[in-house]
Amino acid sequence: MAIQLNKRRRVILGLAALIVVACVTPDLQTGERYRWWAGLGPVLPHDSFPGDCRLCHVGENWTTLTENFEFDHELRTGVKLEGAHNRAQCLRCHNDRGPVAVFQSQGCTGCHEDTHYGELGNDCSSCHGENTWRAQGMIERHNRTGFPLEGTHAVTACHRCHPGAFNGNFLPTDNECLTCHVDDLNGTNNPPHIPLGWVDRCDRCHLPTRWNQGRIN
Amino acid sequence: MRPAILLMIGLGLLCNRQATAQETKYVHVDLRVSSRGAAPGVVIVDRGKSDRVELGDTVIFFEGGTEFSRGNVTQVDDRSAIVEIRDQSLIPRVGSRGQVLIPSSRNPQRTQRPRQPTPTPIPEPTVPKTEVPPQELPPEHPGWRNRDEDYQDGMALLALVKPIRPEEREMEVTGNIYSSGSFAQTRGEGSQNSYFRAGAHVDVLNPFDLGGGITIDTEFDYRREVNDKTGVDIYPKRFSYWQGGSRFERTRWEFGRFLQHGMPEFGLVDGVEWGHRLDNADRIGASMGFMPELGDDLNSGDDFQFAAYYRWAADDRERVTATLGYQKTLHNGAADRDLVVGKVRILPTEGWDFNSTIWVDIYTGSDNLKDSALEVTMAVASLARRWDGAGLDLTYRHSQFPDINRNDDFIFPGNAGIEDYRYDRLTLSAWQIWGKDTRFHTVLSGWDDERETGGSAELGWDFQDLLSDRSHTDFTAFGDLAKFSKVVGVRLNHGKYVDGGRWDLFYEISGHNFDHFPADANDLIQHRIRASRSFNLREDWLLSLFGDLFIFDDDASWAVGFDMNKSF
Repeated sequence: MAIQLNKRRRVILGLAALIVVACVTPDLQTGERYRWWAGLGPVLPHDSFPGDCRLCHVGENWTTLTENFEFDHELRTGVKLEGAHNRAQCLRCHNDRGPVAVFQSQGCTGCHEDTHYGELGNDCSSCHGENTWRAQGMIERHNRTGFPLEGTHAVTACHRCHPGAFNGNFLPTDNECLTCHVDDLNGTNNPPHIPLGWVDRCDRCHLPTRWNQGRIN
Repeated sequence: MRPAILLMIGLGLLCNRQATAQETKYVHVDLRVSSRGAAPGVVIVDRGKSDRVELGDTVIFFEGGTEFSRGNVTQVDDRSAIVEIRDQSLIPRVGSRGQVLIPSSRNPQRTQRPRQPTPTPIPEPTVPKTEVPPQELPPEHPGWRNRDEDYQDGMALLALVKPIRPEEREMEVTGNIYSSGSFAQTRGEGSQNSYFRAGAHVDVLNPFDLGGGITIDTEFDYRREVNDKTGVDIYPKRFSYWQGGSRFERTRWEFGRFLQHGMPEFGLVDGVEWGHRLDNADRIGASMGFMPELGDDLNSGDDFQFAAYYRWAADDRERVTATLGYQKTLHNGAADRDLVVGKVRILPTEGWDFNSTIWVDIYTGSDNLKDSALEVTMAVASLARRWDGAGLDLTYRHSQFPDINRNDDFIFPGNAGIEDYRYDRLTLSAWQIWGKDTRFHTVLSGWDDERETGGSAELGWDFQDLLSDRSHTDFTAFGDLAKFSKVVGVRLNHGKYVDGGRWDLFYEISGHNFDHFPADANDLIQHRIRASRSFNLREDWLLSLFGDLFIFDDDASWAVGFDMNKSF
């Protein structure tokens, strides 16, 4: 499925992608928070709403909300919305799937796809915030695994050791040196490691900070 | 005798006049509970200042036709009011009916709302209800014909009004676009690595007037690796059409490339999935298709899978569920993996939450590297509890390499590693709020693999508004018994929300002692400095910039990067 391209085409393609994004962006309407279309109909059950329709609706039809319409989600429901949730359209959560309380009770995966295939557990908030899905504090969390990221490891992109990282696949990766550095071993000729039988226990000579600092007793 | 009789008659008339005066003291205005309030023990009702409700007014709530509880108005808006319930154990449900007692002397010239028939309340002590003047009966309305309404007396008119079906709506396009990149370099080695990603997730709802949707998730990646390997990929992560799965259509279909909806543990599939919600809230489903390899380019075509699952739910609220699924895969046409996945979710409204998922591989004669017939190749279980101002999480993880032929771009350590590898970790995480602005947090973790045992501990405090308003300061000390080293250190993080974004500064110093290195060079001090700034830009664009600097031994690494996204 991957398309392998030469360098020139890569550059052209990268620029083309940027141009497309830049061109398309102004035309993408930012989702109005209370955006509502006539075609959507009353998606939400109104049985617990105030009896005075004028609180929300204005005009001769039911499709126009009052200009100053505001809904304090925390005050009215006891559930505080933060970050992207506070900017999202109501219909992103309150929709045809059914009572939102059922999905909310399931945690993040009640509404969001579990792109880690269930392998990282259900506590998404330990890595992700509510403003963006970009994971935060991963170097600190890596300390708990038995393999703290030291030296060069700390600035190495995640996908170098977790090749499926771009697709949410982080497990499993063994933390023996050769698991990731077998190419380095095969390409080392000064001294020639493989003929000398130096094919394991790299940490006897190399610090995990970088390969160059080999020491021989 | 006559004066006595006259006196008694006079007293009787006086009492009667006083009683009449008390009878006219309150007007009962009907209301409903529109929602629970944010604070415990309060509800919000749909009557407010425009209905002459004022602070302190008594409100009576009804359940099952009789008085259920009482409360007093503590806050009034124009058309709603907050009522504090007197008996905290008798909080009325949302939708409950009630009456607010408004002194009839209050602005009496205003017209009363027409009253609806309500259950008979237990009257406020010594206060009988005022007679309501006779009203004209509305003209008789022809019976409602809409089957969806299922209207019953007492429901609001729009309670069950017919919703417009998904297939009756206009087409809608929603989603997000994103881009991120990073460049990192280590000075001494001169090694570099960098990446750039740009992608879009787009949902097209009801494109064919059938009520379904198209999901597209595609990405452009550019990577320059440490050893100067360079790769560019453009590939679709998702491209599928789905139909159903709503409250109107219990059966759900999806085909194309997608993450399996019922069992994401079974992974991506280029194929088709069917799912159905039964009357008792249980679910059943099956899928079939090729599995893209979960590497960096999602190659597909080598691995075929078919899978099925059944999910039991205790009730409609789905707070207690148990799922069992089976997946069979073929690699290049030959039998490969037999995988059973079990999941249990117990999510009570109060108490301990329990989540667990277990992956069990079934080995047959064709699997050479494993002795046992069954092996738990992965397990995740967590127990969590939240209190007012405190939380506790206990998580257990287990993983082993399965003996499979599929090339999933795991970095396999060879056959010996597949046979031997095992990793178990137990993590306890807890936090407690102390005072108004201080939070204590700790994480204790222990791990055990096929060769060694270790653990880590973190202890920290974070403070809100310590140095300035809208700021956050965190101080954490930590120590690790890691596989190749022992680490102790402290880290300090300070961040502040500002107009249009947030900035953060981070510093960490840690001492590392390496287990097997010569004693004269086995200690290392590492400094880590990080600065980041996020911006909320126009048109809802979010942009984050960051820079990292690591100083260790006599060398240094640095990295800079960005992340931006926009939802539409």
